[in-house]
Amino acid sequence: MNKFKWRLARDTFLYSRKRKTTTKSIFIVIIAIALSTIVSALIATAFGYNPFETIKVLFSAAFEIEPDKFAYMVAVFALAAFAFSFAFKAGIFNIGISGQMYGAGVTLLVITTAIDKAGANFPPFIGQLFAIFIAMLVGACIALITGFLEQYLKVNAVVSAIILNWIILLIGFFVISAWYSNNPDNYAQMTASTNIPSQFTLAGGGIAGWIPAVIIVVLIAIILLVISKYTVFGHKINATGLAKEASRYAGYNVNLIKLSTFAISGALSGILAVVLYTARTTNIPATILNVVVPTEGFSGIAVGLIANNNPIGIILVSIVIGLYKTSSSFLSMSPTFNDVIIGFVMLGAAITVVFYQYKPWIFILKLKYSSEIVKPYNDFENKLDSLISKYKSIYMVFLNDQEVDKMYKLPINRRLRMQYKKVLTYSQRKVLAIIYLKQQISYMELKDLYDDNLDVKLQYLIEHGFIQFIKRNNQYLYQVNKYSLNYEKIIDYSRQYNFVEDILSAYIKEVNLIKNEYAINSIKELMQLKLSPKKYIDIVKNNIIWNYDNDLTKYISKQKAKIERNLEIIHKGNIENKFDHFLNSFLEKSNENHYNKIKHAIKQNDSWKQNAITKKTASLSVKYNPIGLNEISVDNINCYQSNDANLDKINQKITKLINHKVLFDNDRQMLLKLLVTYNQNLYLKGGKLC
Amino acid sequence: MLGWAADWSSIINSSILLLCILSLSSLAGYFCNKVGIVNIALEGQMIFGALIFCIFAQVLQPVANDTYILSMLLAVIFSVLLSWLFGFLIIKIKCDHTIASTAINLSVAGLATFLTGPLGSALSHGNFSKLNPNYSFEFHISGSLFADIFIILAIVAVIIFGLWFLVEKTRFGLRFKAVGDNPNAVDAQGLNVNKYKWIGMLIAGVLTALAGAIFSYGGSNVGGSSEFNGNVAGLGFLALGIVVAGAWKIPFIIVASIIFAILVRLFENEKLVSKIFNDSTLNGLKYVARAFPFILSSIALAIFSRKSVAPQALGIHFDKTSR
Repeated sequence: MNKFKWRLARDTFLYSRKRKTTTKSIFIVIIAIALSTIVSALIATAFGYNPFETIKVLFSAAFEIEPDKFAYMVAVFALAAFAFSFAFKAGIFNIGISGQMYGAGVTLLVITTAIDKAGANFPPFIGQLFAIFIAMLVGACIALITGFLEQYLKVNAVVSAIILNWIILLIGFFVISAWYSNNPDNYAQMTASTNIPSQFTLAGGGIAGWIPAVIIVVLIAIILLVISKYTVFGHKINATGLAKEASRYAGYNVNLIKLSTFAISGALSGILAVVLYTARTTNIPATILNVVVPTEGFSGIAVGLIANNNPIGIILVSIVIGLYKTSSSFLSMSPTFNDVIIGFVMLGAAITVVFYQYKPWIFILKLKYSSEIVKPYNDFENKLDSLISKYKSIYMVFLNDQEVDKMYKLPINRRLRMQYKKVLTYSQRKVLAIIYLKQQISYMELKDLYDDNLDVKLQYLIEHGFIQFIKRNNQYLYQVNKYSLNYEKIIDYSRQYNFVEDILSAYIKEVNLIKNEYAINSIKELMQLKLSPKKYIDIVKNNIIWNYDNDLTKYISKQKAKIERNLEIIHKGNIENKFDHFLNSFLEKSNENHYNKIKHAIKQNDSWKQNAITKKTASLSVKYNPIGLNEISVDNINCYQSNDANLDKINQKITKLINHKVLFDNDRQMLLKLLVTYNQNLYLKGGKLC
Repeated sequence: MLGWAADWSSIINSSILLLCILSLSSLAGYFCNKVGIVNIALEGQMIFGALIFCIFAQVLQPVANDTYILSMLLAVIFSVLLSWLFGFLIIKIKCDHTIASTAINLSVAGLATFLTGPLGSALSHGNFSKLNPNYSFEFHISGSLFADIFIILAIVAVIIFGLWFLVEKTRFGLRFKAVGDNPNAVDAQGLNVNKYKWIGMLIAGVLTALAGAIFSYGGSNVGGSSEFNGNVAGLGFLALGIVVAGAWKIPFIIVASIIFAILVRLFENEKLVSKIFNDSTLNGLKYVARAFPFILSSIALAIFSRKSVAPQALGIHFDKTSR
């Protein structure tokens, strides 16, 4: 089973057209990041810096010099990406993460300083939880503003979110510069606010600030995974993101779902604010000279899109980008270089969406040959795709009970499990095949034919909609469900194959068929122009051989049928004349003229390659000069001894034909059988048979 | 009163410049939307135009003095590259519009913030630490109106009138607008839908490059210096709101941009604001005042979004088979 599985997996990876598998997306992410580093290294060379040094520093500086900052940046990017990707699942592009974060930070500052001044003392963990709670509330409220504007006033969410970002930023600046400035005397040199009191911060209090940040990230990743996969609410969110109208018809309250996703992503950006503003430095940056929306939100968008909105992918990608961000401060060039890198990574990720749909090697083919090769190549890929899906269904049919149980117990991939739940085991398949063949069958009849745990299997089949239990003419019968037509095909397939090796060989045969067809179709278009004669000959040879094989089997089967027919005649009628007549008619095809042609063709065996382009000689030589068949040993024939002169004559004729390779082993055996029946006394007279 | 007079002239100068910037960029958004493309990358395109303008202004300054028109033309020409990339992502590869726009925004912003430092110091032989076209420092100091600004205003007015005529009064404009509403019908008539989309992207690229160039020429209003900080102060996003507030009609867009320009510059003027808000501790209220146009735009969006009718095929990729 494994060989077949691996072969299918490999072919789906290479030849599936529009499938978004996890392997492909991982591949694409790696390509995007690699390309962007290369491009940014090239830009570095343009300014006179050593590219290899930059790459080395990018990947190593963070671990060696500042691992705290590295973990902190990872947490920041990951949380921003969580906030974005959770909303993206419902079809919402939440570009207002920066505003929600900043607003939450400012309100946190205000409230915590007020509480600190009033003299209240919070116990160790409660202060931080309180801070997180406030930040989540504020973030959710700010996000809900854009949500309400989009729902009830039809304002574009992106535009309103951006404008709200700016409003919050400027109001926050005002608040900080008026009352919380770190430089109240010199207004023009304010760079940050006053510190958030330490009982509410993640940093300080014995442990470094990045440890609770990382713990928060991991917890939120787990929670988001659980929500999206194992809860009804998560399923509803995914459904509204994928098909809004369909989910509305299904009865989901789309408005409520969208608003709640807005609120949740706002809450996540509130948590981001807590981590960003309290885990390392406990103040809010606010430079007067350059009023700019904080960029962590946009980096979160980039990370979320690159990682395809998967929480685990987000963590991995944020590790890489956090690495870049911390290492870039140790480069010899300006620290704004990391913006370049992130920008190019984002651009690369947007471009590599191409690779889901297009394949770059088509361009290479177009360059090598003309653009006419696109059509045969697309046909080739489409046929392969359909073939792979067909054989996947066949694979599903051949699962043993044990393998089905294994798959059913897979803990992680629930989607797979739901798919394979509908797979039938061998025994269930048998039941279904019986019902399908009999079309309508009562319980007692079925029990006669199939004995082992029938009730359980019938129940399973009814539950999953394979069969119906109907009443007809006062009789209760089982019937295959009309709408489970797919399974008719699977049952038909299962009748053809008994062993898995047969499936694999059949699959390989069909794949080679399609490849040959593609080769010939592409060559029909291109043979005049650019293909070398060697390659053409090879492909034609393969095609001819395949055709020859086909023709050969047909020829042999025809001859076999003839021989069997004539056997019957010989049994009934006058044997000797009929046998001679039969043999002559059999040898008509190898009469003298024809015989010479064969000799001629056999002589030309070595030089057929030169004449391969002319079909006639090729077909002739190949038809009568089989390539690849073993030589027939002549020794077996001489075992047969007889006293009859006629038989010797016949034997000689047969040996002649065999030596000239007109007859084959199977025909010889058939003819020997003929001889035996012709002279039944041979054995009694003491003739040997081998 | 003399102080007031000086202020009024500087207000008029800067508001005219901002009017040019906003009207051009919002028209670019209008052109993209009318063809069915959601363009959130106006800011990125403007930054690119500003960058090119700064580079060439600094390079050509010793050669000739009033070279701003030539640098603007060069910015327009180089913007074709960026609009080609953007159109490739959206029209050819059919990416999600928002994803492609944020990608362009991030990459161009990153490039610009990175390049101002080294390029600026290289081109000015160590005088400035950032790119500095060195034009606008005069606008905010002297008390007279500048003739150059009116030349720019005239050029922009001619461009806007020409585009309005093109879109409203010619057959080309009619087909152009139809592509955003029902591209399949346009395809049924035998016209090439993708051609009109590319034309819309090109026009948008040209207009935003001009707007960015005008911004770095004098529209930034950062107290006396004309450095290029790698951003356009969020004006690209303001233009998006103006497009919606203008209900996708050109005269309304121009009116809205006039109102916005005047209000923004009125409230950014420190002396005026300090006259209204006399208390020195509330110095930061000027930031609230700066937020006022954003608040206005959000209110305008809230009021007008229900009634304004967007092009129907906005954000949907063109599919020839879905007729």
